[in-house]
Amino acid sequence: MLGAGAGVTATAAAVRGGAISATEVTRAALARIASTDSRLNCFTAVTAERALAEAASIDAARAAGRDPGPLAGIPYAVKNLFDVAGLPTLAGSRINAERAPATHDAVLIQRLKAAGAVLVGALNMDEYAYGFTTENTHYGATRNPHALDRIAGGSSGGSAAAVAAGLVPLTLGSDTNGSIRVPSSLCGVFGLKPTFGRLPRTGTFPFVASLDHLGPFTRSARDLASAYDAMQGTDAGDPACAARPAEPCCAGLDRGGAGLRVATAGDYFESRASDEALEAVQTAARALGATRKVVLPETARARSAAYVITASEGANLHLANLQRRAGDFEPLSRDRFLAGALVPVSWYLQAQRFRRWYASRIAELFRDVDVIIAPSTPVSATLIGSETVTIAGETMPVRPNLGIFTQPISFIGLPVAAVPIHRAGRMPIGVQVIAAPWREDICLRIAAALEAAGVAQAPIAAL
Amino acid sequence: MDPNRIDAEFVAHAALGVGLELAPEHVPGVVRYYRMIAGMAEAVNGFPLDDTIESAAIFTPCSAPAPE
Repeated sequence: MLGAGAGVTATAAAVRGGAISATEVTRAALARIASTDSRLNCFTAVTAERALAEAASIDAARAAGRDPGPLAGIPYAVKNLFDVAGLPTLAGSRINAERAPATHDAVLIQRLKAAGAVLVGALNMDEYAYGFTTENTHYGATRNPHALDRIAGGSSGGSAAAVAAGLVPLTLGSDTNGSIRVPSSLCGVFGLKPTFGRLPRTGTFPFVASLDHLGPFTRSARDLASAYDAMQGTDAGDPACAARPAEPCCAGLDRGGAGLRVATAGDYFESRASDEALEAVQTAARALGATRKVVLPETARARSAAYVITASEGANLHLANLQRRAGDFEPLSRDRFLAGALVPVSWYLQAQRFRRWYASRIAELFRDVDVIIAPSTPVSATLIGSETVTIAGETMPVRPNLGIFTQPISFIGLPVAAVPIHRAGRMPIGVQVIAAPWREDICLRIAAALEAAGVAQAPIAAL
Repeated sequence: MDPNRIDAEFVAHAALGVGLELAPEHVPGVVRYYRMIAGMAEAVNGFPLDDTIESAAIFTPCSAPAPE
């Protein structure tokens, strides 16, 4: 019998080989959710009936001699901004709860289903993805499984916490400014933010169309690669999705870091980091034999430009509701949305022009290095309800500043593996493994190498 | 613009331009965040860019999907 600790790869192999049925795996996941989630608040909906039907279908396929798929019987859940047929797409909001249920699944859910995975529910998030803490006033805060009085990070907090707690081995989230990488760091799990335009967003509720990405969370690099490979491929429903063929990563995962030029990110990424964040980067660098440091030019400005674009596009999306019913928005982000509605178009366009300049400058850096290691978050998880955090002697608001290291990277769409650096007896913290556009294979190889070296681990939280 | 020039009166007028009537209880937060955005924009706007650098927002012409 597989335990709660079995990941995607082991579970799929067991189901495909007949050692366990998809129905048994699904029932076990539903039981874990039922017994544990009330302490964490990861799930906003559990799709038990659908899950058992999907699992039965996998078992029937196998019994009939058909291939049940590479992710056969894997229970997974999605951030509640993904369309799930039959559920309203909440995107963490009370306003969207009034919408009609979705009639179709998001494209990535369709792809995971085709690969044999089993959807067990929808997960909590910051309202409209505008936050880094998943302290959702409407649906409650998601708690960090490693310390229940601390935040899970956000905005995909339910997605990261559900994996960290071992409720499911795979979840999906979104990342506009860091919403996969921040909760991965704080909950101590692996996450992948692919290149902008790699995975189609069709059937998900947007936040900032210029910056929105989707990606998976797991507890190992191989599991991350397996899920990612199953979801690749273009889709005409997302105008930002690149018309590129799938470029599978699993086969080359064990090549390690040999031949890759690895550097750490200096300057901006050092001066704003706590000691624990710097230690995590140094641990990863040592394991990879990396001694080189690179400076990403004008990174503070890049973060500022991402902030302006986010404020402006996010507010534009919600302007009609801000005009009619601002009081129904999440109090923690409502005033940010309102302020964003006032941004002059010249500020927005200048930020978009700066984005092109910055992307071209960072592309030059990748002539000399293949991988850049940077901290994912400036600190480990803060207490739920904290308003400020002190980093390098400076006290600053928690909510906008947890993303200071992720925001400049997603701004130019680079692929990043979020890798948890193991620290026995201490709260998790992670690093970003950053590569040139379309080189998710490199990010995942380095993530696997760090795991093989024993410095990256995602143990299930002891609850 | 200087973020310190942004006050309640400023944001109330700007809001009217986009059809927003700010509730009094929302105004302090809007002032705070608009100052933050303005500070960010000041940093971006103060960086010289060559005239040839276009916006990173790209439009791709599209055709109607083929009938099924």
